[in-house]
Amino acid sequence: MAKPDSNSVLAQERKRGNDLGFCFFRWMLRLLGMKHTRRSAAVVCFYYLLFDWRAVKKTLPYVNHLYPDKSFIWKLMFVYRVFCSQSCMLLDRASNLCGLSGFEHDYFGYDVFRHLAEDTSKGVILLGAHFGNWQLAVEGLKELKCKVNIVMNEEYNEAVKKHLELNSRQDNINYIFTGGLAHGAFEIATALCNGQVVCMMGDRHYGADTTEVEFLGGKAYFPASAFAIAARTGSPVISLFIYKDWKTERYTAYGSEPMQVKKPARGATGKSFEPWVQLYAAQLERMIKEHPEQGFLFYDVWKK
Amino acid sequence: MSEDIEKIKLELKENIIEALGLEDFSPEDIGDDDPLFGGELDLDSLDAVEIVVILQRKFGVDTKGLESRKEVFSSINTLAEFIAGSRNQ
Repeated sequence: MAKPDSNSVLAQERKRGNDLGFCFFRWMLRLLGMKHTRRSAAVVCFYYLLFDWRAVKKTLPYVNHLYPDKSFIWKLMFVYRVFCSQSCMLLDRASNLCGLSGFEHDYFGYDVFRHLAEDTSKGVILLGAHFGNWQLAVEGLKELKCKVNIVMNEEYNEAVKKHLELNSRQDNINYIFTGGLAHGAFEIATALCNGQVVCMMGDRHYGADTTEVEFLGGKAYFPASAFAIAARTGSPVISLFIYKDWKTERYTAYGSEPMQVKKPARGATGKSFEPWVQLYAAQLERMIKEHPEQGFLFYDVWKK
Repeated sequence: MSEDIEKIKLELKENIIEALGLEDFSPEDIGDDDPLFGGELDLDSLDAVEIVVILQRKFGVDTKGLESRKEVFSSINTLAEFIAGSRNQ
């Protein structure tokens, strides 16, 4: 799991988004509606493309692996598409939080998860990704008749905390932050042992032990933590991806078949979980190839 | 009561050694006040998961709310007191 120094690095990295910006877009949504607010957001995205070279640089490894043969200019245009796609996702989330729209979505394989989540005594680990509208997915999880714990790094940007309601404890949702003792392991284990759902990100390691997997034509490094925990608690792991169909404006929640991980011998490394991590990586790759503009891997997962 | 606590401590040590595969350790090697994390045992975050599983499945302790009482995981003594306290409730 996460090494202690990773949070301070993240704290320095997370600067984008301020109080004024969030308020501006919320009022835009209320006054002008989604269509015009998206246009304004597209202008902001273009500003980021021109002047926030750090953000562009972080997106390029993803685009390079996705389209290795395309020209640099083409890749830059795709980076802009990714920025615009993410801004639309954030606006959907903001619109939902303002009560201006509901969470219109279809399910695929979700019933298996729902049944498991509401009936198991061993808990369920939901493995998400920086893909599609994972923040809006929380709204869907609120419908479950069980407690849902979302594992995340502490959000240091106060404006993001306030406007996306990341840290508010409401409904059946509880946030577990990985900055504490044993990196949230006590909270995660307690939740699973009490039959609750624990959601984690499976595509970014934040300094945790990693496993090498094949991903988008290269060797990538994904964390094995979720599978290592599942092996100890006996909890099934389900991958969950939420993507948007731009034509219908509807989201689809895709849940994989449950993965039941066996406990390895003491001292076993992350490599013991390689088949499971590879399976997850393959599922994510399939999703990304179908909806490339919805992959938000602003981190070089191909670099150890 | 003290006999019960001693029994719980021994059971705890045996369970931890077995579940975590600490083949080089015997129950006598683990001091009642030795820190579980950062001491000689040097357990990691995944071992913490295993300890919660032991508490619930081997000792039948209700672990609800335990996430906010991390001091319980300091040593064998604190764990044993927690188990004894839970059983007396």
